[in-house]
Amino acid sequence: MALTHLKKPEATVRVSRRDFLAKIGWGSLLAAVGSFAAAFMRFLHPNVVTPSPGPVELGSPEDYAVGSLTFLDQARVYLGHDTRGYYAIIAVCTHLGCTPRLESNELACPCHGSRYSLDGQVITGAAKRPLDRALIWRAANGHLFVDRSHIVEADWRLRL
Amino acid sequence: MSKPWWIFIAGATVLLAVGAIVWRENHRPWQAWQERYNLQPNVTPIAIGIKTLVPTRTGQPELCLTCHVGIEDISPSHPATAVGCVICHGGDPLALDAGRAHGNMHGGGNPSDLSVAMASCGTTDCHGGNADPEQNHVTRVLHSMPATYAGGIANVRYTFGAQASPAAQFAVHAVEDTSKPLPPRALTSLATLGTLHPIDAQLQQNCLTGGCHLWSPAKSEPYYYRSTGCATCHYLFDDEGLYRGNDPTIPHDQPGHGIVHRLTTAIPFTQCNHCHNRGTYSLKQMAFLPREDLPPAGPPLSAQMPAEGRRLVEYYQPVGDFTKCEIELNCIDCHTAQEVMGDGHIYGAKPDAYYVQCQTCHGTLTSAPAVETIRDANETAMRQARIDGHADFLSVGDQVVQTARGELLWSVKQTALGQFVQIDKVTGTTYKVPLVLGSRCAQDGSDQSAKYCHQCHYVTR
Amino acid sequence: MRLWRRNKSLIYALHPEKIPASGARLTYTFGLGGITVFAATVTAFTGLALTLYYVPTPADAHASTVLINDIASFGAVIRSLHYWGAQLMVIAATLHLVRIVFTGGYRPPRELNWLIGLTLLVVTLIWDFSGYVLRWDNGAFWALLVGTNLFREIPFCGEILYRALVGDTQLGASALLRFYGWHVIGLTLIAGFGIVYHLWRLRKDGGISRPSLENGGTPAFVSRDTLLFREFIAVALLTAALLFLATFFPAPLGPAANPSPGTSEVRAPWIFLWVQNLLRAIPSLWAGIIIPLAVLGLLALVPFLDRRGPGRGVWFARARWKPQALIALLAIIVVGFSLREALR
Repeated sequence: MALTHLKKPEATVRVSRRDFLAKIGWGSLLAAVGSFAAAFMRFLHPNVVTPSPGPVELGSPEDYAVGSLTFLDQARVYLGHDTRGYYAIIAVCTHLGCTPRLESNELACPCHGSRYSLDGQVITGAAKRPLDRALIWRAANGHLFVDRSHIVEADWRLRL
Repeated sequence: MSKPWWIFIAGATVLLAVGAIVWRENHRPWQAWQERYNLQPNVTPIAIGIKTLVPTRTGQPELCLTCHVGIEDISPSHPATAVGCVICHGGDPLALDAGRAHGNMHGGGNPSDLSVAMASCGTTDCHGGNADPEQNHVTRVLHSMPATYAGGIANVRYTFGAQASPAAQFAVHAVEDTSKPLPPRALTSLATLGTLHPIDAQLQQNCLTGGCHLWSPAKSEPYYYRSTGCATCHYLFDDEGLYRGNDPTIPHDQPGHGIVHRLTTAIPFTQCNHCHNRGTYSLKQMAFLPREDLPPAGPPLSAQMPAEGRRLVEYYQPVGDFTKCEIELNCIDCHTAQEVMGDGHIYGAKPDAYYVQCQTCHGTLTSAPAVETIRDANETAMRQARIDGHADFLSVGDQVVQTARGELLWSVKQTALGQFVQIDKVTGTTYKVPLVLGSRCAQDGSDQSAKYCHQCHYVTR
Repeated sequence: MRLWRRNKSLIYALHPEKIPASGARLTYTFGLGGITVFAATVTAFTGLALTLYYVPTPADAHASTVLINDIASFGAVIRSLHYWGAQLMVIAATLHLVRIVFTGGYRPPRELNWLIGLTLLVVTLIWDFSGYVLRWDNGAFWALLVGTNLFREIPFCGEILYRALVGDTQLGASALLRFYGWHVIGLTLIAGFGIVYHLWRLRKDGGISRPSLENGGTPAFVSRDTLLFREFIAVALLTAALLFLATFFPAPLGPAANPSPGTSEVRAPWIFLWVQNLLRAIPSLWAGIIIPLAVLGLLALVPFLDRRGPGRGVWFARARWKPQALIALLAIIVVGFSLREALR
């Protein structure tokens, strides 16, 4: 007969309807499990985070004499006052974030041995970048304020 | 080994271990302190247990009194029931282990040490951060000469050629004064003494370590024992530096502790003399030379010596002439709060800061002492009288002596009859103040210095 | 007594009727696996007691720990038992791993169980670290800061991983609460299922691996009753030992966490001293992430380094030199850098 070439080649048909259904079923279950896992990972990721603290009051400029470098708890900065003016060093080690400690003529981080000069340049240790400086200004009430989210250059000073 | 033996060993060791736990639980360190407290004479024994204090100012429980049972209330102005311990001392209020409780304390045992005084004594509403600068005692003390040692530093550096003039430029710690207007002879700032000049290192070693200013700890010798910061004056020590109170955790045989855990404004001359009158200075040697007529350098004093004689020998230099008021009153009866604690401004020479003279109380040939009327029950003079424990000496409307710089001396008042009476701030004894006006004093009115008056009025020793 | 005798307990029924004597010798296994399970049990029960006082907020974490340690009756003992039980678990689990390597207990068909056991070791280390963090004292705070900031060093997904772990952009209440959740429940669930699976898998794989019989000798066995008696004595003695440790060497607790400077030296928890030492000299991504993961990866490879041949069940068998050499090398590195940091 002329239409034999249209007959379905039975040798290639391996999957019965049942098997196919089952395969779809398992595939869907696997996809579902994958979705659970993905949903859980998304669940872990926070949608609301702590906002950055914004301006923090540091006190009156007279309290910080020329030549001083004072750690201020409320803002975690070192407020310095040299002959050119005021500046704030952010007290976060650029290696892994510990708070460097003021020693006689350097800032030393107690975690992995990074040491910075008093103006934040790396002397030795694991840190690779100098300490960041934050923007400070004098507000209307005469007190100094700092904003850690505004980074300024190392040679910038607040002149009063 | 047989099974029964193993069972015995297992059971015995577990039982022993449990016994160890129970023993440890009943022998905590704080229980030992309370038992030691109960063994002291003249105390009412207390029940052994955790003692909680909830001061009204903070509302947070503090367990300090569990070990420090019997410690004296620091002062009537800072009662423990209102203020508690932690607001001044820091530390962990809930810990009952000494290391943990005392971690994070301000200034070790002394929260008034100048390095931490601003955070403990000087918090807002207390002795700092007030709108009225007179109430900011911590700021005043930080700028005062006992803290800056400005004059001493300037004199030594000038003598040894480190600076061209004797005007003060350096202090122990830098200070700044931007208030306006500045009184005459006050300075705008002093820098921290570093090692700019070769002589500075020796100055630091000879003069600034070993007790010549409020930042430095005292020499550990009899007569010298004292604290630092505000407590240098306000926390009394006796000659041997021994604690004589009831707190069992403070050793009673270890010198270096105050007499009792109490702050006072009634400061006797003995306290001032933990620093002053202890010897002389040699500018040439850049050294302090302790007195050799007293222990520890010299022989012990006879126990038979009467009190006035003792006072003269123990506490005054062999080289001085002293008037009657100097050997009968206390230092603080003349040296005012603004002199000793500073008026908030920076001075570089003693005569600029210490200005009270004989004429302040005794007047001159031509005038009685200047007086000012007390107008308000809460003004400084009235509060000082109250805190000192002599509230009934003054009432509103009284006239008290006023110094040349406008400070009121609450302890010297003019009676209705025009006479002047003084009350000793420490003992409470009252004295009549003789006036120069109308007396046979033959002074030259233009010289009112202490040296001049002493030439006639010194009392033989 | 008769009630108990007639209805044998669950623990009795869980044990095999008899086990080969060669695998049961104390000098062969040192009972390290059992010690680990014992330590885990002690830590779990004392941990439950601690949750009745502990508050996982930054304001109260340290204060509630001080409350347990100084004020609650027997609080110091319970906390110290928890601490020593935890350290015993870490040490016993590690020594158990070393024993498995040196006696060939990883040989087929036990490769899967090796990986499960390795996972349990990792869980134990995370348990130790997260428990240390919950104290919220100075050491804990810096350790958590450095540990979480290390995640940020990972390229591409570092910040995402940090936020998923910490639950915020910086350390605070969220980090503490999450570490508490993992420590008390998350890791307990994983470890609980893991230990059960590990023990079931062990039974399925034929019990404790032991030397194969040579020369056709008759195998000796140890009865269930004997085994249980030995375990009972061991539990009693170990309990006494932990109690003595807890009484005379109380668990440390520093002052409350304070981000201000002032601590003279910061020490990582002892299990990570070697990482701290590496962090001083080598870039953080390598020292803190890549090298520790590489060590873990090498440990995972152990069963695949030596799959057949003689030497099973024999300590230090030469035929199995590859994994033994690897373990010895890793041990020297880890212990060496740890000592280097500890003796600074």
